[in-house]
Amino acid sequence: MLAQTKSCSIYGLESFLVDVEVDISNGLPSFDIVGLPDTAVRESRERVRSAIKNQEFDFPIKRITLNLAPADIRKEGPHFDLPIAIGILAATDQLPQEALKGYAIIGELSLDGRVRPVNGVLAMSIEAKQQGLKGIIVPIENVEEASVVSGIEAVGVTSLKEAALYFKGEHKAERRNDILHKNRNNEDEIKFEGDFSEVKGQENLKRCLEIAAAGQHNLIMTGPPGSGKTMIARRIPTILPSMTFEESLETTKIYSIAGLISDHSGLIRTRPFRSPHHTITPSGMVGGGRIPKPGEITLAHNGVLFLDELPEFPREILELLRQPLEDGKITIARAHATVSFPSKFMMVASMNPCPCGFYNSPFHQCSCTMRQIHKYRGKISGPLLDRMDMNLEVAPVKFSELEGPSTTDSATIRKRVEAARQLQLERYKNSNVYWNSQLTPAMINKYCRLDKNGKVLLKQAFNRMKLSARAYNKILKVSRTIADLEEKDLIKEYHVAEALQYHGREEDQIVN
Amino acid sequence: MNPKKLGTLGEQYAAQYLQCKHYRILKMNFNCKYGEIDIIAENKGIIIFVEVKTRKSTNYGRGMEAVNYVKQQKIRKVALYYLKENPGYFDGIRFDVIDIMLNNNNKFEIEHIENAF
Repeated sequence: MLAQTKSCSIYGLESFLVDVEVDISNGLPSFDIVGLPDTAVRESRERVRSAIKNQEFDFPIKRITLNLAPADIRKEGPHFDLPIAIGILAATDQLPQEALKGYAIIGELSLDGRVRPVNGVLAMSIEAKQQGLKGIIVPIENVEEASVVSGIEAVGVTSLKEAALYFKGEHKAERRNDILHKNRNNEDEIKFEGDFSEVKGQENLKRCLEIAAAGQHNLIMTGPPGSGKTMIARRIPTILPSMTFEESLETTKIYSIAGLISDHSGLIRTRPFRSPHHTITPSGMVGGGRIPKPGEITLAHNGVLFLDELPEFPREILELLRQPLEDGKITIARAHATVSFPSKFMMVASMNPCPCGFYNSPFHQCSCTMRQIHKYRGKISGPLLDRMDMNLEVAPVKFSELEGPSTTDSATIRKRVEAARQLQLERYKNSNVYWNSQLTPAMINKYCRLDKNGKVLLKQAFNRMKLSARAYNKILKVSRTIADLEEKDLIKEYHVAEALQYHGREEDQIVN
Repeated sequence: MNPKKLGTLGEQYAAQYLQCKHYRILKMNFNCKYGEIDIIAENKGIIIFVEVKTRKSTNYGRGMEAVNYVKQQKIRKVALYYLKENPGYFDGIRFDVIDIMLNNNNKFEIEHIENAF
């Protein structure tokens, strides 16, 4: 007896539909799975056998052959348990076969037949929708994630029996779509940890981060220890603009596949903030593995990648960032698979000016030799620094500032950032650019128009500061964002002046 | 009834069953140094090696489930030995398993798996 169910599998960040074909024939009892299953899929034999038995169905003592088509792509993950079990029930006439048509089934089984949550449900749900299926059966914990996709019915089940009853039409499995829509409407309040008002002083730095957040500019902060670089960086998420639905979908997809959605709820609405430790390996940073998995830069997609103590990172790893910073994606080629992961992130880095940390400090004596300083700074290559739109010197906090009243809070800043973000979204509506930082030279000419004084100032600066062509573009992009924060269309002289300030001096004034 | 007696009973019943299906029994309980084959029969020029499994309950699974890879290999070896000892013309060979359940009313339920492995 033959039966067929559908399921999905993950390849990179994309999902593809898998036909689960079950053939049951007379012969010595056996249970074989073919179609390139990996260990977790092969092990599902034992789970399926126990689950069927323990949910008071009959497990056929016959020769069972199972095929996962297409047979040339490796299938991984435990989410084939449920479709296999349902397929066996259908092949033994314990379920009506026709009912299975048009449904994709996903879920891991425990030995007693309960359905356990799995990873990557969002991507699978999207694929099922694209393939024109009418419904998707998922573990109850994943149902919110699955029902993010409109136009496909997401059905959450808690056990094999419940899934079977659903196909028999005897049981209305819980549908969460309606509940979710209700939740979606009152999701405005997102709680953050920390607030910009807790950071005393450092107004300059706060302003700088506001600009960076508004235009997604890469930023590097240099300053002595204890000046608040890390503290302020950790509060960046509180001022980031909210994600559009598409961005939310992308980020949720990545996190779903990486298995990082802890409470198995719906869409991720806050921009990710990743701060990997400097002991990270290359594959941890950009992704890798026999079958490539996303790394930190992909997890930071649409959000912030914060690298604290930048020179402590191995040079090899910093150089890996160059291509993703430029292209917004990373392609990982391995023997078993070649996949592309998106990596459009805002890079925020912090570092000390020298190994002891007090070079150029007004209060402390630096104890480093020139050689040490050169060596320390040499760890960060020119091309990487070149990709930083803003380069900021952070001064130590003064006592008066520490005692002073708290200043602007995150909510106020976020409002301004949000407005600037809207302007950009509107302006770049029909292009594949979303932020000022992504502008191409041609687009800079088109969108970064300067007033007369601005032009004069930029020309002077270009000559006096011996700027490179790339630096010129960077300054224009940052000025654009500063003007956007004031909701001005034309870039004025003082916008350019401020942007020049954040440019940082070339080769940071090491005096020999 | 002890297990050995049950086994013999099952084998006899299986032999009768095969004869009803016009199989010719060549040998019962063929023994050699490699092991034993319960029934060797012939039908339409094909030599059939039959393993009979008799059970009273399914507490330890069905009888046929016990014919695992090791048992299959063993039967193959014995079959080869038999063919060597008894040369003669045949069209082919086949391995069958006969599963017999002795139910509560002392009745036999028989399941014959042809070409089992």
